[in-house]
Amino acid sequence: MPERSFHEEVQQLRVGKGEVFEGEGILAVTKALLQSGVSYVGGYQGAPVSALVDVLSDAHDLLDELGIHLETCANEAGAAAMLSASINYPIRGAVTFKSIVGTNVAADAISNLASAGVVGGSLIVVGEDYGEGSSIIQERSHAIATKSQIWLLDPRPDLQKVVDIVERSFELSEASNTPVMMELRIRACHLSGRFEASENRRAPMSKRSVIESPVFDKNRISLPPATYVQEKLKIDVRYPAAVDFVRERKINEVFPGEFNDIGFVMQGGMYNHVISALRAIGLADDFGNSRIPLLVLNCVYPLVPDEIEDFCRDKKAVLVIEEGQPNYIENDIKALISDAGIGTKIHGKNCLPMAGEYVGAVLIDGFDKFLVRSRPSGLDSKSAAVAVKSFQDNRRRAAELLGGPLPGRPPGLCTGCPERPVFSALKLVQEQVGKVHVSADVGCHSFGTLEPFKVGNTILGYGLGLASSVGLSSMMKRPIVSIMGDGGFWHQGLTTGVANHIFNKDEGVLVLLKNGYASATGHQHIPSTGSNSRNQTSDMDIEKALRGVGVTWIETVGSYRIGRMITALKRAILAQGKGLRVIIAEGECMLARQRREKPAAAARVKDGKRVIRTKYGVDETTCTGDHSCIRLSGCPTLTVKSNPDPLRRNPVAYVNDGCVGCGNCGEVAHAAVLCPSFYRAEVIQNPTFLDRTAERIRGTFIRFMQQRQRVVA
Amino acid sequence: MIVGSSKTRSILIAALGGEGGGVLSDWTIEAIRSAGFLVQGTSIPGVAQRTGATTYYIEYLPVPKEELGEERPVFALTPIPGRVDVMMASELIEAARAAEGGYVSPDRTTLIASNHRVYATTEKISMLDGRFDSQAALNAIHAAARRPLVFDMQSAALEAGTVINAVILGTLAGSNALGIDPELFEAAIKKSGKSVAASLKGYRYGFDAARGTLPAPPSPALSTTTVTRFVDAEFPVEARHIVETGYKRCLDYQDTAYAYLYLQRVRGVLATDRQVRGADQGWKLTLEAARLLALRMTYEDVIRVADLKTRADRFATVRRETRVKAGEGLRIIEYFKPGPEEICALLPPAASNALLRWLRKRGLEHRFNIALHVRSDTISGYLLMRLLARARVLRRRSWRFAQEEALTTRWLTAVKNAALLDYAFAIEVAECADLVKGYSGTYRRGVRSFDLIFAKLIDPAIRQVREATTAVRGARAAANADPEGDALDNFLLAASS
Repeated sequence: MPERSFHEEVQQLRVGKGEVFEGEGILAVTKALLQSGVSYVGGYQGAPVSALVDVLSDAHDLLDELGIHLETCANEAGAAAMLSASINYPIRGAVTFKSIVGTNVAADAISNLASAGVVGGSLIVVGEDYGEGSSIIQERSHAIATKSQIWLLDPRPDLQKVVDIVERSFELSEASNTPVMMELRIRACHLSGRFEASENRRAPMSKRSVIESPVFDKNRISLPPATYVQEKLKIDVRYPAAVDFVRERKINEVFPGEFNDIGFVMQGGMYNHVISALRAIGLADDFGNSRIPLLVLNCVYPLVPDEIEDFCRDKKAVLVIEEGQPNYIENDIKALISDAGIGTKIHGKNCLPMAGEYVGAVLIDGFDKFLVRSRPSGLDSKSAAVAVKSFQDNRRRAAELLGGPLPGRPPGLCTGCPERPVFSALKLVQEQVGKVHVSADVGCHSFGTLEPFKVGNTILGYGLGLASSVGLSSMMKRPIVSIMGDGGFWHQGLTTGVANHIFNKDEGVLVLLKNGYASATGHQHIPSTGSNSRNQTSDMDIEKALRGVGVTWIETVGSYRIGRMITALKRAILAQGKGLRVIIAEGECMLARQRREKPAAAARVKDGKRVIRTKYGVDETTCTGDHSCIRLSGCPTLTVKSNPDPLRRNPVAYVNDGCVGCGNCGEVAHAAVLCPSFYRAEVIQNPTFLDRTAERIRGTFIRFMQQRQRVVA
Repeated sequence: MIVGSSKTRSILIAALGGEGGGVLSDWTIEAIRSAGFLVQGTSIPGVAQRTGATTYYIEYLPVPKEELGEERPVFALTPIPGRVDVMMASELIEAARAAEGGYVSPDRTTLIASNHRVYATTEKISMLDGRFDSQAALNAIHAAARRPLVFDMQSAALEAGTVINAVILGTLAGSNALGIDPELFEAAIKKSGKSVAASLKGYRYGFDAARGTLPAPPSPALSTTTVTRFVDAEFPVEARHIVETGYKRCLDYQDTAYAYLYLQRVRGVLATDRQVRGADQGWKLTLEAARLLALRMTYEDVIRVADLKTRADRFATVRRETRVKAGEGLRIIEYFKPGPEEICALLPPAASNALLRWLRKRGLEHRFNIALHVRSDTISGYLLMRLLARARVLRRRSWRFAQEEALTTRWLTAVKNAALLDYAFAIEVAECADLVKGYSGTYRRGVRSFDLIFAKLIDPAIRQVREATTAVRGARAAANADPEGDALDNFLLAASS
């Protein structure tokens, strides 16, 4: 069961022509795919585009009616490879994943697809996760598009426009025999808005009207000599076709403005940021009417030379607003303008920062610099400078009053997370065997590299924890401990990491965190969940897979058993010369478990059934405020509060109401022999007669004794 | 074109994962939409929400949809500093973070924030007190906002049995900052259909708080501070409360004779303090030494722990913190793992030494521990712990007591000697007692730091009749910088070279 259920949204996917669809950006894209008559959709989960596949999974009835095949793919390469269906057959399809990590994994498939070319429209929807709130390395998808020569669309974040661009993308793809990529930034994916829908279209070829005979066309094979022909085709035929399509169908938009001697050229995705920044300095109104002319590039690759030339020709200066680096678009525009012999001065990264997200404050600051340099006639350019000074003053004043940097609050392991005790154990075992190099991986467990554990020396990519250890392992005194989640394991860790390790007879320890889902992206099903997204039993097993590729040293330990985990880790680390040692740490993702168990427990309590609720606590009178327990646990609910003892200064540890009773703090205190302050409280809801009697007898006795206890207040 | 007269209003929400920030955003959007306005919201969910800080952003145009004709507003996806109309923050530091970013401005922003703290990991893992100064944060947010509505919304939410987002929504509705009929906010909660009753209760609390119509809380009973019974005029007024507390602590810990010993020792420090004109320093030496001496003399051993854990007020605290309702049963399971220290806290020195020798020979000194889960709510568990508590009579003849006495005497003598050299130095020496605390590894690490600082810095300084204030202060900071003791070793190495 994924984190979010889309049963309500699914109903909206059925709305027809003229009706209004209200919802999030990524759902609008999903609806647009159905309106475009796709025959197949695939994807690999990753914020913020996971919802596209999640919502379609919930909509299997509708997909069946339309004959659409939905595939939750093994990884992004698998997803991109699905698009090969459109190489020989005039069928439309779309896949989705997160960029840049996903496009990297998919790069091989994308290159081959782009070279062969397509006859059916094919669209790659990528979540451009750049800037604040991003959880990945910071790179742009733009380079992927230009190097493989696939068209890159970047619609302005207005749902009607986004839907329109999705529909146009398929036409563009077909008109130029080239796959199209559409980038959506994280906030645009989660944007709430509305658009006028049209009917869903049933594709001419689909699960419901099958293809009679396969097509063979040797020119579509990515093998010499066809590849040389394809390379030439890209330049001579497909590129001009795309430019013509973008020009004729008016994919890009020009918004006029009164100050005609300057202008802004921007990626479509930047449009709303630009308007709001202009609005803040009095240069645009609430409806997007700007006093500065704007050229909005809903298609950022390829550029249409004459559009750019026409926009720039009569202007003194133009600012290119392009988020991230390198500044591909700015450089292309400079070259275009130079080739056309136009004297317009092109500004860009000389006014705006090279790196980082272009939020309002950054843009206003850039506008100020641009207006100072370009000095447009008739425009009092002080308003930007005033706005910049005003917010800088406010920031400075707040910083002075705060007197120091605020504590950061990066994401971390959730309350009750089964991965936490494994990191506690990894920290503790190093006290016994010495420091080890830990090769970390991508997933929720990446947070183990942060405070308080700081376990993990490198992260090299999803499912690459084990693979990234082999370069170093033969030079390390102690074996390298690699981490891998079950998400990463099925994504590529099994082949790239485990099989290769066995094949090369490498040494090392692998800790496999099996929590049953792709948890970080919203609990999508993976082979070790036990069922697929359609709830069909998968009957796949990590241990069987490991044995299948020749791993013999395997130990499965329950995540919360810290003592056993320490012992297992120690055995694995000390078993030098035994090849790959794998410890499977088994414990279901606590968020998923709570979502299932909390309502069930509440229902049982309501029905009057006996239910035990567990909560941990720390005795404030025996806690000495050293916080060792916190350094070994990091649980959000294990926190501090002011010391009630007038003789003590340091805050005491304290377990707040969010405790789900996983027992990690108590187990850690036990395993590390920390302190006797932890206790487990078990509250018996709806106690039986026996419970009540026992409690009465015990209570009476203890209270009687306590009255006689010696206590000096 | 109506340039320069923007009507668009913006709302920024800062929340922590799991606090229902998304639901708060949805409720707000729903209320605005049902008021007949066009509205847009965005968020950065996903990994950012896994306990980390995250934000939600809403813009709307307070012009009825019908009056717009064909025109459609363009809404932003990120806030602009100085242009935020309403800032809602579910926690104090998140409100301060918004102020630090310039998103709370004195000419525009209504700030609705809870002043409770959810401590960040970096604050919690400090070996001392790593908490950010709440007062500074409160000052900053009050100075930054046009209209601050700041109170403890977390407690209100707990009282109402709901999540903090409902209280924040109520405060927003009550503040009338958006000029939207409160009925519409209530309707939004009802429409969402989940835990409606509890949410409405929290909403009502926030609403009344914003309207200033909350019933006054019962005024706390006047504290009946105990009149000084044991500590008389011989102690300076400033010190009486601490000395009184210390005296009672020792009495509670052991017996009257022990409490008298404490008083006797404090008198010794006070005499030195008088000698070096401590009155001019606010008797700081006496105060600190009396406080730390009480803690040293009531070191945490298994006897003390068993005693504290079987008390009536402790049972009451557990019941309160666990929120046990009437008619529900409660079991308390204690996590004990006694090792050599705990056993030696009961045995006399000779027996302890024999045991420690035996363990050391087998390399078990730091590894010999017995894991116990004791049910202190059962008769047998309770009696077992009381038996341990009554072992108090063995304490003064135990190995651990002898160790502690040696350490305390060494410390106390050094404090007095240091005072004769330099007042600030004496305070630093006194503070070193705070290094020794806790249990097992923590305790051993503390003793090690204490011994090192005495041997390398304090003892030589006193021998050479010079102060070493800065060095000791630095060494203490280093000892508290990391639990591995690397920082202290490096510090001492640098100091000796």
